[in-house]
Parts: sequence; structure tokens; C-alpha cells
Amino acid sequence: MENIMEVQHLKKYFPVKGGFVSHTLGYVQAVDDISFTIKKGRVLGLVGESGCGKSTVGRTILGLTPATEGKILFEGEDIAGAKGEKQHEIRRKMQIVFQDPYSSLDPRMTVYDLISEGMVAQKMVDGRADLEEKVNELMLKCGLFPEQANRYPHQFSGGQRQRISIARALATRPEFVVCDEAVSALDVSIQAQIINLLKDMQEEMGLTYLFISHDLSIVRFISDDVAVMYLGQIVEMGTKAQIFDHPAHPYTQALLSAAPAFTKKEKREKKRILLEGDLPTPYNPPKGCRFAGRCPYAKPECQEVQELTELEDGHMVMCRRAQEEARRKGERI
Amino acid sequence: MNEQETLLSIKNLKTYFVNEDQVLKAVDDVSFDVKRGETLGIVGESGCGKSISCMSILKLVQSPNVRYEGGEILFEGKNTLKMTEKELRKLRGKEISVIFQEPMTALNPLYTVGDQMMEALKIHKKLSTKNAREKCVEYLEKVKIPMPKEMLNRYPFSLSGGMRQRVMIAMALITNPKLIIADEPTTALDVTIQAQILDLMNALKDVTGSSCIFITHDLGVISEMADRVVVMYGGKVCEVADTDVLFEHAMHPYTQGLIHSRPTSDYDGDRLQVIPGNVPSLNDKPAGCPFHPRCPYASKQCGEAFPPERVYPDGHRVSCWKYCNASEVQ
Amino acid sequence: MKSTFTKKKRRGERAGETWKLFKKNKAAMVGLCVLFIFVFFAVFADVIIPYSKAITQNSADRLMAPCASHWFGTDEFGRDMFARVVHGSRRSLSLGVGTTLISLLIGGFIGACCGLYGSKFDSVVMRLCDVLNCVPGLLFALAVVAALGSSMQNLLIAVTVISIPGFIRIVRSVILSIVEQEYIYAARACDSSNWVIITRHILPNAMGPIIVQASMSVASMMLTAAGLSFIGMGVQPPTPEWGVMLSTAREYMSKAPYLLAFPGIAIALSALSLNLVGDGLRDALDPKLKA
Repeated sequence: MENIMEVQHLKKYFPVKGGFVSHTLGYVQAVDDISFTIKKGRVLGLVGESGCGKSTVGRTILGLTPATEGKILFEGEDIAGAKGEKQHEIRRKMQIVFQDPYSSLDPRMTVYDLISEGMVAQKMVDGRADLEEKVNELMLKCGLFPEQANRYPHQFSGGQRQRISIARALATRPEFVVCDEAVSALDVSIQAQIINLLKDMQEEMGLTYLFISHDLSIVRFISDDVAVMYLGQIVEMGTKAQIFDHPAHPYTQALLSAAPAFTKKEKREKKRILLEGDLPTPYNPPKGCRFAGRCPYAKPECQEVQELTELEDGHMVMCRRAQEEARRKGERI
Repeated sequence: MNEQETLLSIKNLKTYFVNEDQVLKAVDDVSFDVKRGETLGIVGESGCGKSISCMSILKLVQSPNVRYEGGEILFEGKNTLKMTEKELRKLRGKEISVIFQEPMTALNPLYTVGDQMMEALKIHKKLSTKNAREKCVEYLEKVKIPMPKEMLNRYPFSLSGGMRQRVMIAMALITNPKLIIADEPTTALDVTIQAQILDLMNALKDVTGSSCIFITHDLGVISEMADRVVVMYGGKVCEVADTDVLFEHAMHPYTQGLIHSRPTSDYDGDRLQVIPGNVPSLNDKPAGCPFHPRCPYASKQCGEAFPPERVYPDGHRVSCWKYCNASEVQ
Repeated sequence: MKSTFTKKKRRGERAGETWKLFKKNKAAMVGLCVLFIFVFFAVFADVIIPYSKAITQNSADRLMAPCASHWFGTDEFGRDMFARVVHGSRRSLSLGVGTTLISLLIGGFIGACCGLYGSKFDSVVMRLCDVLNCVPGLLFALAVVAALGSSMQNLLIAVTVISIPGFIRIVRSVILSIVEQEYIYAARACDSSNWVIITRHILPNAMGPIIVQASMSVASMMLTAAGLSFIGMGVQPPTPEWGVMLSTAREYMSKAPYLLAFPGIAIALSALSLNLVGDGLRDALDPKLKA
């Protein structure tokens, strides 16, 4: 299995302008030196809370926002800053499903227009009849009724709109899809339907997903690998089992413990870690560990620049304490 | 289980929205009780009527078309639906207070935190400004806000979501209300902040002795906060039970479906269990039991009439034809 | 398996639907009828009543109240008021519509560029608009007319220039709010060309607020032109124009109020009907109302 997506030292900074002549005051470091790889056919879950930069990662990979620095290797080729023909090809192979089923569909276009837009832009159809057939097929696949193709988005429920978004994303037969909080805005009973649909489509079309979400239980279900982000950086990364069963970074531990448990078993097993203070913003963040301000184990060494290092077999963490503990465990063995 | 006195009793509440051409039955014959000192959770998805039922208690539904068509809401024995606006004002903010979902919009951006907190005190408790300020600082400390004296002079826009919600909680508690209605207070917050707020609310619950109605769509939150749970769907009550009992022995197919849609930590299935179909919109409600088009156990009876409620000795209540005797089923 | 369900609607069908929705709006239909009458007057003025009647002076018939031979009465020079109102419509309406179209095209184009391309161009244009806004519109128009001379053409130029900043702002803000919507990102994600994004996504969504602004603008342009003529800086007598007519009627307010009433009502009615039509059009184009 080769790497379909490889991101190296990706940075996205947003300049903050001010003053009469609008000069740059500082930078919001939305994404700060992120690296990860996704193998073909697998799902990487990207978790974090608001302000951590996960949505920005999704959009930057697709080229919807230009990266400030870094390499984005799609099927081995660097696509950062791609233009023209190259960009055209990339946009066929990489797609995105957005979070908000209300604002991600143009209210003035019918479902037919929305789904067919990608295919028309990529010149994948010959003739009206061919297009109609393809749109039909996509709607049926995504659980929609083809008779409703001439309706407008506001006439559908949230779950159905998200199905339309998925049909639109799949129209160009992509290989890689970014799901940017694709189910977060839906009712609970509908979330399960859409997750299942995403899984079905993945198997049927051999897709690779970058699944961005703040909902840990869903990420646990759908992902193969998980990366945890905090304030623009990846603080921990590994397989699903490594992250959920043996979280090493204090933030990951706190995140997992914060999710409400509802079976008695989960409640018993849970160790509650409560964080103090609020989520900081990524504007001019501190040089050292960005989590140190809220970390229950913070020490003076945490003020120095941190690095993502491997604990064991692909499980990476950016925390001195975790690394020291792993070393100690290694020594004991 | 000792019998606690009932603080609030909603009986057969019907809240409708009346347009020129249609009647939208947002709350359709809903009944439940809140006992003194307990936290009652109301769980359901969008359009089920959970918020509207609770806003009806104080007649706070924001719409010119709302009609409180039927039933009664007895707060300490008095029917709030029949109260005059003056009598209701005495209740609002004093006996019954509300914590809203969106802390960004529930606080007035033009007034300082202090002004807004003291407003309720000045109206209901008739305190002087000095005494009111002291009381505000006391409650801001209770909700663990750092530097409470300075907080009184700050404006809402300078606070984070978690801070604003703490302020909202302090505002709700400051008049020592008998009942707090918390309408999705943590839905708009991040997970770690939500954990802090829920922890805070649990701690305060024991101290203040107020009853609380906690409205949410998140079953996990309900299991952490509520003593008893009311499950609503399509404007009706499906099931009422103690929290533990509900999660272990849910009876209504909707509750079961809802619990199983959520993947637990040890779930190893390939696909999630789903409830097929869509949540009904207000103007498109199915006849009979509103859940029947999506129910795996639906029978002809389900589409014809809403089932009568069965009450079990431990207080567990279900409205489902599955649990009705053959004699009740025609 | 070929399904016949998914048939795309043709343009004609959609236009038909829009018209049906528009018809349902009673206020808009009333506005359309009134507007139609005024346009009819403007186009066929010569057929309805000869131009000569509008300008021929007849001192014998001075200041006659409305009667059978002179439906709207006569003015201080004995000219038939009805003829003057009818012929005046041609000038007033063309002033209003003409200035709006030109300033919409110019201001809209600049505003769109600001919204779409932003940065330095945007900053410069916005600061220029700020400067222009500091000058009271009427005074500015006065200055232009004073410099170039009083005539219909120069009036048009003056009124157009003062309304361009307004359109720049409106179009810019509408476009800025649309460009940040997720559906624009989605369109870019499938690499629709810029032309497609502008014509299929941005323009249709921007139509609503722009139409309303344009219809209000026609009305206010007419009033500005009337105001300039009122103070004698616009159209010169004997050319009939509603503003000029209002101006001269001042003196005879107590003696012959109808001299003020008919041109005044004409301005008010045409402005109102334009607003109603604009609102109706915006609503008819809104897909949310297509149940």
C-alpha cells in the first residue's frame, strides 16, 4: 500500500492586519509545521477542538487556501501551489464534504445542478443524456430520490442535504476525500446513517478519507489512524488502538476523559481529567509546548521547543513527559 | 426510594404554532413532572418539542403565532398557563430561571457582566447596588471565575464561550430559584470546556438544592447529569425512566435506536446500527405514533392512534403499542 | 437501467416559474401596472397628446382648474398640465432609469472587483468612496452642472457620478458576503472556472439585494434630478420635466394647488411602483419561496 497523501512541514499562517494603511500586526498560526501520511484506502481521523486548525488543514491540502509553507505530496507529487492543468487534475481526484449542510449548497441551484457541476467542470460527460444518467446513479447510491433532482436545497432535511454534498463530492470519482466535520451538524440518528454511507462509499470506490471531527466516538469507529491536534500542531499520532487505548499526551488523555460516558462500564473505566482554563487562540502562540498552560504535569522544561518523536511502532507524541515515561518503561523491560 | 414532593407538573400540554393555512403541533399532549431537588433530563432530536415544552412553562416561546392550546403547567400547585403577565414576571428570573444554549447571543453585548447580573437582583430582591455587587462577586466565585471583581466590569464580547456560560449559570443561580431550565447549555461548547461546565453544574446542584430541567440531544451528557430522563419524539413523550434504568433497559424502540446509534468504545461492528428514515418536520408529522414510519416493530395500529401510556411500579413510563395488552389494541 | 426522472429544467421553464411567483404578489402586480402606465406615457407621449400642447403658451387660458378640456388644468403660461405631465414622464423616467443603469454598471463592476480581488485595490477604492461620501450629493451635482452647464445631459452625468459610490459599496459588501460561503469553496473544489463561479454562483445570489437597491435608486435618482431642476440647475424651461414643474408651482401653491399636486403625485407614484416591482422581483427570484 503506497502513501496516497503525504504532508511535510505544512504551515498556514493568517496575517492579522490593522491600522490605517493595513499593515501586518502578527500572525494567526492556524497550522504550524504539520506532517503526516495516509496510505491508500485508509482513514485518518483528525481530532481536536475549535481553533486547533484541523479544518484549515483540510482546506489547505485541497488548495482551497494556499499553504504558507510546506509540501503536500499527492500520489508522490508535490501539489502545493499547483496551477492550471495540474490543479484541474488534482481537483478531480481530491474532494471535500463540508460540515454545514445549509451553507455548503448554493441555495439558488437545484440538486441536479449541484451534483453535475463537478462533472461538467471536469468534462467527464458527453451529452445531456449521459449527464442525466450519471446524476441519477449518484443520487440512488447516496440514498436520494432521483425524482427530487429539480428541487432546491432548502426543501430537504439536514441529513438529505449532506447526502447531496456527498453525491457532489463523489461525482468526479475522486480517490481522496476530506470529510470536514461532515456529520457534526446532524441529528444523532441521522449521523449514523451518514457514517454508514461514507463507509459504504469508501469500500465501493476504494476511497481514502481524511476524517476531521471533534467527536471522538465517531472517529474511533470510522478511522484506522488518528492524529490529535492542539493549537495548530499535531500533539499525538498513531493507530486507533494506540491512541484510544494508550493515549500518551496529557491533552489526548484529557480529551478522551472529557467525552461523556453513557454505559455503566464506560463510567467505571473512565478517569476524569479536568483541564483548567480556556482554549487559547493560535495568535502569536508560545514557543514551547502550547499545552503547558493547561497541563496538569507542566514543568519548566516544557517552555522549550518540542518535537514529535516516536514512542513505539508509529505512535508519535510531542511531550517530554510521555517520552521520558516511555524510555523508563523501555529500560525496565 | 422516598417520595419527593413534586415541584412542577406538566399535564397534557399542547403548544401549537398557528398560521393562516396550517397548525403546527410543536408539543402535542406532553406530560411529565419535576420533583424538588432532582435533575430531569429531556432528550430528543431537532423538532421533538423539548425546548418548546420548557419555554411554555414561562410562556417564553418566541413567536407571534404560538398558542398554548391545552393542558396545564402546575408550578407549586399554580397553573402558569393561566397566569397574567405580571404574575409570570414574578416567576421569571426569581423562582424559575433559564440558561440558554448560545452564550454568545444570550448576553447583551451592550451591557457589562455586572449590570446584567445585578439586573435580576435589583428587580426581584430589591437590593442596593453595593449589596448586589457583593452578591454577584460571591456567585462568580462559586462558578470558579478568576478575578470576579474585575469580571463585573467586563463586556461579554471579551469572554470566551466557557466563561460566558459560567456567567449565565451564575446569573441563573443568583436569585436562588427553585427551578433552573438549562436549554442545551453545553451544545455550543468544546468537549473539554463542556466537561468543566458539567462538572461545575453537578457540584452546584448539590449545594443549591434547586431542581433542574436539562435539555439536550446528547445522550452522554444526559447520563452524566440527569437523575431521570424524558425521551421525546415528534412533539410527544415516548419514555420516562431513571437514568440508569433507561440506559440498561430502554423499552421504547426510539430510545433503543438512539442508544445503539452511538458507537461505544468496545463496539466492533462493521456498520453502525441506524434508525432509517428522517426526523419529521413540524408540518409533516405522521399520524398515530410519530415514530412509526421508522420503527422496526411498527404495526397497523401504530399508524392509526397514539398508544396509551403504560406506567410501571418503579416509575418507568412508555408509550408504545408493543407493551399494550391485546384488549387495549383494537 | 435508464431512469427518466432526472430531467434538467430548461431556462424557459425557470423564467416561467419566476413569472408565476411574481404574479402571486399582489402589491408587485399593482406596481407593475402603474409602472406600465408610466412607461406607456413615456413611449407614446406624442400619440397620446401632441408635444405642442405641452409648450404652447396661451395667456387666455392661464391657471385654469382641471376641467373637461384640460384634464389637469393649465399652468401660469396656459400650457396644458396633462400634456406636460405625460411628456415629462419621458424625461423623468429616462433620467431615473438611465442614471441607475449606468451607475449600476460602473459602480457594480468596480464593487465586484473590490469584493473579488480585494487587498490594495479594495483599500484605495474604499478610501476614495469615503472622500466622495463627505461631499453632500446635491452640492456635488450642483458643482458638476455649474461647471458643465445646465442641460438634460449634464444633469444625467451629475446624478450618475454621485450615485456610483453607493453602488460600489452595496455590490462590494454583497459579493464579500457571498465569496466566503462554503458553496463557493465547494465550487472551487471541483475546479469550476472563475467564469462559471461568477455567473452561476455569485451573480444569482447577489441579484436579490442589488435589485432592491437598483429600484430604490431609480426613485431617488428621479428625486435628485427633480431637486436639481427645482433649483433651476437641471432641465431648462419650456421642456416639461416633473421637477421643473414642481419648482414653478411653488408660487401658485395657494391659488392653484393642482399645479403642485399632479407632478408631485406622478413622482411619488412612479417611485413607489418601482420599489414594489423591485421587491416583487427579488422575492420571485428567491428559491426559498418556490415551495
